[in-house]
Amino acid sequence: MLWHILKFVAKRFLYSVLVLVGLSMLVFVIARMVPTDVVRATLGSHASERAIVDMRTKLHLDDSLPVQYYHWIKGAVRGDFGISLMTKRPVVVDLKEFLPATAELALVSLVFSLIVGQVLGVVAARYRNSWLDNVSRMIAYSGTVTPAFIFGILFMLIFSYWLNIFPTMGRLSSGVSPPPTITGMHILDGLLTGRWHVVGDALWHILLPAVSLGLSAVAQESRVTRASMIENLSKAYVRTARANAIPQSRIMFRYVLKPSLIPTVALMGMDFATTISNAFLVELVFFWPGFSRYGVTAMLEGDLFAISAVVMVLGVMFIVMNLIVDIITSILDPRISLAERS
Amino acid sequence: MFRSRNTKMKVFGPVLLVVSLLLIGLCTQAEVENILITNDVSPFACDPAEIMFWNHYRSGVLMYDGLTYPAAEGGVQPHLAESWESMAGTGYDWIFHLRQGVKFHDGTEVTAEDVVFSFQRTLDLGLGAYGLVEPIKEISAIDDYTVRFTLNRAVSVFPAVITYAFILNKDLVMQHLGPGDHGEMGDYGLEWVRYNDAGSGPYTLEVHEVNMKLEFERFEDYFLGWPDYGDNLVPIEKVRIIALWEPTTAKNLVIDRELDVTYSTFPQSTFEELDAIEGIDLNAVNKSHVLVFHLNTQKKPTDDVHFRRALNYAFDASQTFPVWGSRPGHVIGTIYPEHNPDAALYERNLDKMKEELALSEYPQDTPLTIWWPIGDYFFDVMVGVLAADLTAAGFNIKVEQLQGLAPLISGCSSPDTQGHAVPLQYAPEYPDADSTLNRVWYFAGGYSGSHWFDDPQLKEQIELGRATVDAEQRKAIYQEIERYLLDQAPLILVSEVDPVRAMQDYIYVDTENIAGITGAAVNFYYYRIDLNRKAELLGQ
Repeated sequence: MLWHILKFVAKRFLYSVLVLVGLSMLVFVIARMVPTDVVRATLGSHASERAIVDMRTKLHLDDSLPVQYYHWIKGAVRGDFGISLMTKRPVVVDLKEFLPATAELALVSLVFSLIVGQVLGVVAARYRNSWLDNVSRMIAYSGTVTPAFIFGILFMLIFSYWLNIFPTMGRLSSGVSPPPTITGMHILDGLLTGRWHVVGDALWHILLPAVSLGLSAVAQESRVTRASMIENLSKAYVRTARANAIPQSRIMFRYVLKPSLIPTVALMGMDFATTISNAFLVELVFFWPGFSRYGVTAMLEGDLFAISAVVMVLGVMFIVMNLIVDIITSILDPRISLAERS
Repeated sequence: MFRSRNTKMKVFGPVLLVVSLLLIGLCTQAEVENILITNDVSPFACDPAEIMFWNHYRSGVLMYDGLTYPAAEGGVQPHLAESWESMAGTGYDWIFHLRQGVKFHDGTEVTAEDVVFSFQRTLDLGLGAYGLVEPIKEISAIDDYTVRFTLNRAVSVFPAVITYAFILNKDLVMQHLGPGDHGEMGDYGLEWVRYNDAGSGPYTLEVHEVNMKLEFERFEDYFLGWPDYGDNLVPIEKVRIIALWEPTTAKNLVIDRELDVTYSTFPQSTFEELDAIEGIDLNAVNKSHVLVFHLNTQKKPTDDVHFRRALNYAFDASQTFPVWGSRPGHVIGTIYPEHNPDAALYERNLDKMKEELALSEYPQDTPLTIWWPIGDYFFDVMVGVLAADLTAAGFNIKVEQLQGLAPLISGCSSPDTQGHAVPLQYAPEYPDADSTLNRVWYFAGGYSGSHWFDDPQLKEQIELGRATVDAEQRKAIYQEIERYLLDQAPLILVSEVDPVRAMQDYIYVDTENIAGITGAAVNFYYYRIDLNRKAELLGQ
C-alpha cells in the first residue's frame, strides 16, 4: 500500500510541476497586461525622475516579457517572489504573515461546516421527506445562495452590535499578545505553548467570520451526506443489521456514516482551497489580516509581484489538497485504488 | 442514545473544552484603557522620505518633528528650529537656528548634523517626499545648532514648504544601513526606518503590523512638554491606527466605542445617525479641503478653453452642498489668506454655456469620459451630480469606474490614457497657498497634475509668487493666478469642505492651538482623553 501511495505521489508531483509552470506563465503575462504604471503608483507623483528610472531598471520593467519572466522565475524557484510594491518588503514575508491567518480561518470554518453539514445530512437522511428533511434543505439552500459576506455583516450586526457577545474585528483583543509563532495560527500556537487565554480569545474572535465563511460549505456537505447515506441505507448489510435488531442510531453512526463520508472528504479538500480564495470579503468585514484580503488588495493596487505570488500559492494549494483528498479517499475505501484515481 | 459514559465524554468532551476556552477568552477583556483608536486607509509610510499621501502625514507628525510647524492662526511657527532668516531677504539662502536640548526617542540630542543628514537623505533617495525638498541645492551645518540651506531658486515660503520634511536620528539610522545604490550610505537605512522609529515626535512607534495597524506610545520627554488641560483631561498614552476603511464596520465600531475617531467618508445620513447617539460627536478639525474635477487639457475636446468653460457653466455645484455642509470652492482654499474672495466663480448658466460652445471647435456631443474612483463618498456624489448636469445639458457623457488607487495613478501618467474629467480632493499639505499652486498647478501630469495644464505663463507666476518676499505682493500674485485659472478653466470647482469626523465625546481636541492643515489636524499631541467619561460610556 505504501509503495503504491509513493508511486502515486511521485507521478502527481511531476504533473503538478508542469501545471504550475503553465500557471506561472499565464499569471505573469496577465498581471503585466494591465496598463498600470506600478512605479509611479508606488513612488508617488512627486518622486524624482531618477528614482523612477532606478526602480524600473531594478524591477526589469523595461525589459521584454520573456526576460522579466526569467528573472522572476529564477527568484521564485529559490522562494524569492520579489518585493511587494504595497508593503515594500519581500512578498514571501507577506505570505508568511497573512497566509496562516486565512488558513486558520478556513480550517475552523471547515470544521464548522463538517460538523453542521454532517448533522444536517444525517438528520435529513434519517427523517427523509419529513419536515426535518425540509428544514435541513432550507438551511442548505440559504447557505448556498447567500454570499458569505452578507452572513458576515448580519452576524456582526446581531452578535457584535446588538447583543454585544462577539467582537467586531481582528484576531485577538487589544490587550492580548499573540503567542510565540510556530505555525502562525493563534489557536494552534496557543495550544502548543499552553497559552489558554490566547486560545480562548482567538476562538472568540474567529467564530463569527468562520461561521460566515462555512455556511455555504454546510449546504454542499449536508446534501452530499444525505444522498450518500440514503444510498448506503438501502444496502444489504444495513438490512442485515436491522434484522439483527441493532438500533437505528447505531446503524446510522457506526455502519452507514463512515462510507458516506467519502464524497464529503473529497468535497472538503476542494472546499479548503476555495474558502481561502473566497475569504476576501469576510476578511474585509471582520478586519481579518488574511491572505485573501492581501491578494485582492494587491490586484487593486497593481502590485505585480504580490499578484503573481498569490496566484501561485493558490495553485499549489489546489494541487496539494487534491492530492491529499485522493490519498485519504483511498484509505477510507480500499476498493478505490490510487491507480484508478490517477 | 449514549450507552456509556465514555461515549458521552467522546461527544461532549470536545464541546466542553471549546466552551471553556471561549469563557477564558471572554474573561480577558480589557478594562478602560487610555488609548485613542482611529482608522485610516493603508498602507502607512513611517519613513519620512516616502511620505506621499495625506494619510502618511498622520503617522509622521506623531513620530517625527520638522524644523517648523503649522500655526493654528495660519502660517508657520517655530518647532525644532526656534528661529530662521533668509539671507539678504532673497529667499535663496536660509539659516535655521535649532532649539537646544531636544531629544530623540533614544535620548540623544537633535543637532544640525541630524538635520543635514535627513534632508540629504530625502534628496538622494528621491522618493515620495522629494517634492518638498527639491529646491535645495546645498545644505550644511554651520555649528551644532545652525543649519544653512542654499536653494537652486528663490523660495520665500521655504519655512512653510519644509513643515513636513521630518528630521531623523542620524546615528540610529547609520547603524541600520542596508545594501543599496547610494555608495557608502547603501539604502540610507530605508528598510529599517520603514518599520522602526528614528524620531523625536510626541509618540514612539511600538507596533507596526504591515497593512494592519500602527501603535504608538506617549513620549514623556517630548520637548514641548505635556500641558495640563485640567478637568479630568489627560494626555493620550497610546494611539492605535488601524487600516480599516470599510464604512459599515467603521460605523459599528464607533457605536461600540471600539473606534474613537473615524476618518471614513460616510453618507450624510450615517453622520446624522452617529450624531444622534449619546457620547458621539461630529467634529471638523481638518479645514478647507477643496473638491474639484481636473479637466484634461491635452485631450480633445477638453483641450479647448471654450469647451471647458461650457462644462463649467453646465454644472451646478450647489447641488452637492447640502450633502455635507460644504460651501463654494476656490482654487486657493479659504484657509489661506492669499485666496481671492472676489474671484468670479462659475454658476450654472445654460445661455453662457451655449455662447462658449459656439466659440468652441468641437460640437457639444463630442464624447467625454468622467472618471469615478470607487470608495470615496465625496467622489460618488461629485460624479453623480456632474454626470447628471452635463447629460441634462446635452453633453455626451460616459462614466468610467476605477477600482483602487493604482489604475487612477497610472492612468494619469499620460493624457492619452486619462479620462476627460478626474475628481480630486485638495487637502492643504503645508500652511501656504504654495501648497496648492506648486503641488497641483506647477507640474502637469500624474494624479495631482491630471489637468495637464502645462502653461509657461502660469509656471512663471507661481515661481514669482514663491520668490516674492513681500506678503502683500505675493497675495496679489496668487489672487491673479486664481483669476487666471478660473478664466482658463482647466478644472471644475465643486466645493470646499471641512471634512467631518465622528468622535467619542471623551476625546477632547484643543481647537485653539491645532492647525487645520493635513497632518497637524490629527496630531494627537493636541488631543486629550477623559477617562471618567469613557468609563461612564462603557458602563464600567
